[in-house]
Amino acid sequence: MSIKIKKINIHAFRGILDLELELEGKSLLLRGENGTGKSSIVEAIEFFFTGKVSHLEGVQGLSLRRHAPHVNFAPDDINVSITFDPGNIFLTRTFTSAPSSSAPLEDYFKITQKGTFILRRSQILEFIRSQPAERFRAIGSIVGIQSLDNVELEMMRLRDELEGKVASKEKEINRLISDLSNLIGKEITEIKDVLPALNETLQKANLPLIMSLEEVDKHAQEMMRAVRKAESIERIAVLNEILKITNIPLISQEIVTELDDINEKVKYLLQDRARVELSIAGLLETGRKFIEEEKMNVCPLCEQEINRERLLIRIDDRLRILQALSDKASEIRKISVGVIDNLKGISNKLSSAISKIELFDELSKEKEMLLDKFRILNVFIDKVTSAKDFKNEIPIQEFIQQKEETNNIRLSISTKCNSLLSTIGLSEDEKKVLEVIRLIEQARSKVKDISNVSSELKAYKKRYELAEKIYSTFSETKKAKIQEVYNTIQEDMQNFYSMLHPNEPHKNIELVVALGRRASTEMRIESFGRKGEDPRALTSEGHLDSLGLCVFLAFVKKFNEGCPLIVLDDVVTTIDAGHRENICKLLFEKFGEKQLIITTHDGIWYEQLRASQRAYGVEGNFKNFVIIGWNVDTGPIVRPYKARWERIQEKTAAGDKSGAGNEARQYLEWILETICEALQIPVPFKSSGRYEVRELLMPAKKRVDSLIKENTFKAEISKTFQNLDSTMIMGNLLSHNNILVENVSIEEVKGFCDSVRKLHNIFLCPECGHFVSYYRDLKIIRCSNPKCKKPLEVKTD
Amino acid sequence: MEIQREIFEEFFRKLQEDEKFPDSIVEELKRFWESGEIISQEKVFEIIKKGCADVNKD
Repeated sequence: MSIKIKKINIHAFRGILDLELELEGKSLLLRGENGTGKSSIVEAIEFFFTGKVSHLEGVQGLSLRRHAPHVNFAPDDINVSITFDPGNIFLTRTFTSAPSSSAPLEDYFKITQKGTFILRRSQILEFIRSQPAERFRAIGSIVGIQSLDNVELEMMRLRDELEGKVASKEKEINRLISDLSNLIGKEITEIKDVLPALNETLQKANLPLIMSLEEVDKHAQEMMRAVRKAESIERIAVLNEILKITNIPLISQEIVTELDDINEKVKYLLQDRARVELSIAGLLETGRKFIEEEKMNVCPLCEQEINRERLLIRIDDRLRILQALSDKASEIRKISVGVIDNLKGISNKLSSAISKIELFDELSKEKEMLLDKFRILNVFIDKVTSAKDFKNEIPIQEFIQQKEETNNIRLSISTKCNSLLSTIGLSEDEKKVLEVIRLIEQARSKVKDISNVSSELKAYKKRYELAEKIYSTFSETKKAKIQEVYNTIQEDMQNFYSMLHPNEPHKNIELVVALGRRASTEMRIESFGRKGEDPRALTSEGHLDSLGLCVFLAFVKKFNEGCPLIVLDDVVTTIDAGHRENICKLLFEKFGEKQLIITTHDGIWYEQLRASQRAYGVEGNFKNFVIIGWNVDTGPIVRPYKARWERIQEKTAAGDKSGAGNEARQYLEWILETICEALQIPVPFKSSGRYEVRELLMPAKKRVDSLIKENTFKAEISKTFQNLDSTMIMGNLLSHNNILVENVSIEEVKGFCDSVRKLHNIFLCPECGHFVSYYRDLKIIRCSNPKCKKPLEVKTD
Repeated sequence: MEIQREIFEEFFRKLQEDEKFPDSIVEELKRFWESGEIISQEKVFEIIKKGCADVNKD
């Protein structure tokens, strides 16, 4: 025996002060006008299981703490309790404590904690009308794979980061080789070219040759000894090292160009327009479709004339920009890695130069200035790092100014170092030797740098390959497995949809994991012989909503097996009466064992569900409630449902002429609307969808007269219409608190009510009480209950 | 959760089948996932870095 909800108690939550719903393990059918607390009840159930209210999440200005409690209460006052059967297990959720599920409820809670037992119309939109990525997220929450999306994203970011590192190291090696070529004054393409080129220089200066670059340090020291006495050697060596750092600009123009390029891209993504475009992608696509298909030359929003062709081109441009935005973000992340590494390299150079020049009092002023630039540069690196995450722009102008000033300091240092070297009193020959020493030391240093960066490049390449392998394997596995899941529910999805839309040319409904995208699901359908179409292209709004319902139910069937609870919160608003009958069939035939909670504001849908309860013999499994009113002090006032006829009888018995008359008039409107729907009677279109009796009665009469062949049935209906005609004046007099109501007797009111009741009864199947329907192809009017054992059947023309 | 497990198990199996891919990294990724900790960019990088170092030592 499956676990069912026995009772729900809600206190101080949303629009509810205190409410007790005794379900006794049965399904709940709840009707209420908009704003009477239906959704508060659904939200309380969601809160009980998940601790969340989904529509309060992720919206600026809304919060559970502030908006979950009833307006007159605090968060700590909230209390939602549910009693489960069997076992009479009573559990409570408050703002600070969660219900602790015991063993029999383990599976039930595992599923309900995900919140995927509730379907709202907004979710249908996510399933069907949203972008593939949003659809993936909506489905992912049911399947339980939403966290995998983050794992995949982290893996992808690592791959991108390492790809950026590889590119940055390759660029650095190229730059070092280019520096080396400039230094030696000869085109260097490989490291092995360096030694011969240096020896050539040594030979020209009549200095001993070197056998390997590793010998350079020793060699330089020996040459230095030959130049000066020991006390000067160290001083000359340090000055040489400083000159090595400062003989080329510390900050190159190239890095400024790179930063500028990144900044242009960052600036674009930071623009309000770019942000807005991201958020209105869906609107653009919908608008484009509407304007294109409806061939409209007037804006549907502002009613101003538009140049359709031009507007469509502009929308396409904007959609292209939108697609390019995520590519841009990824590109920025990659190229920033190299630039940030370069900036850090400059920072290291500055630090090294500072540590060396502090040995010379003559350079103390430059040291302070360089220290200042070092600090500014490190702050700037932080700004570039945060710009990479689109938190700010890069202050390029500030950097250009710092670059100029830093390079000026560099020149000053270089000049002073040369001057200091001169004061040591070197001969021209010694100066030449020193220059050669400086050259080979610098060359050695570059080679060492190249060697280090090459090792780093090798390591990063290996890491990148591994990260790419991890990401692509995970991504492919995830996509394949999710596609397998989709394939397993495809049959149910199709079967459910065929139940709702029999004999319609829509088949092969598919959910397809979009290849080449990280987390994306496309929906396809074969419609009117066209395969693999987006359902939005070929089906009506009602079809799309019913398709969303089928997707939800197919997933629930597969993934919510251990939990009988399904909540449908006002989900059929766009679906017509005929197809709603089929939804009843789907719910009662395929999900009859579940505990359904169905809320609606729609009286006709409510009556259809009630009629279907009778037709499928499941009346005993339902609690039918109606919210008759709401105010802030009472919350929703919930009463057991009473059939309209029961209410009319109560009112006539109490002598309430106006009340009974109004109920009977509304009853008549509903009957006539139902007759018109069931017999496919054309009525003039009204955008409000609300019809008065006089607008429906005449078309109904005419249709019955022309359609029905069988004389007995026809005569019975005609007589009923005549009775109604003769009492109709009551309906008019009794409506809208007419002052003439006092002139009408209670007997006359009863006569009108009886005529209405008679009209209803005549269109109900005597066997099962289901409303009749017109089957044009079979040329019959017949009981619409497919399970009826002795259906009413009348021939038509 | 069942599908998540299936995806991860298949993912680890595919990596293990790749002869060029270091076993130590697969083992470490598996151990980390089983511990229930959040798989972050930094953590995967750490595992790769350590795995590469181990391979070089071998």
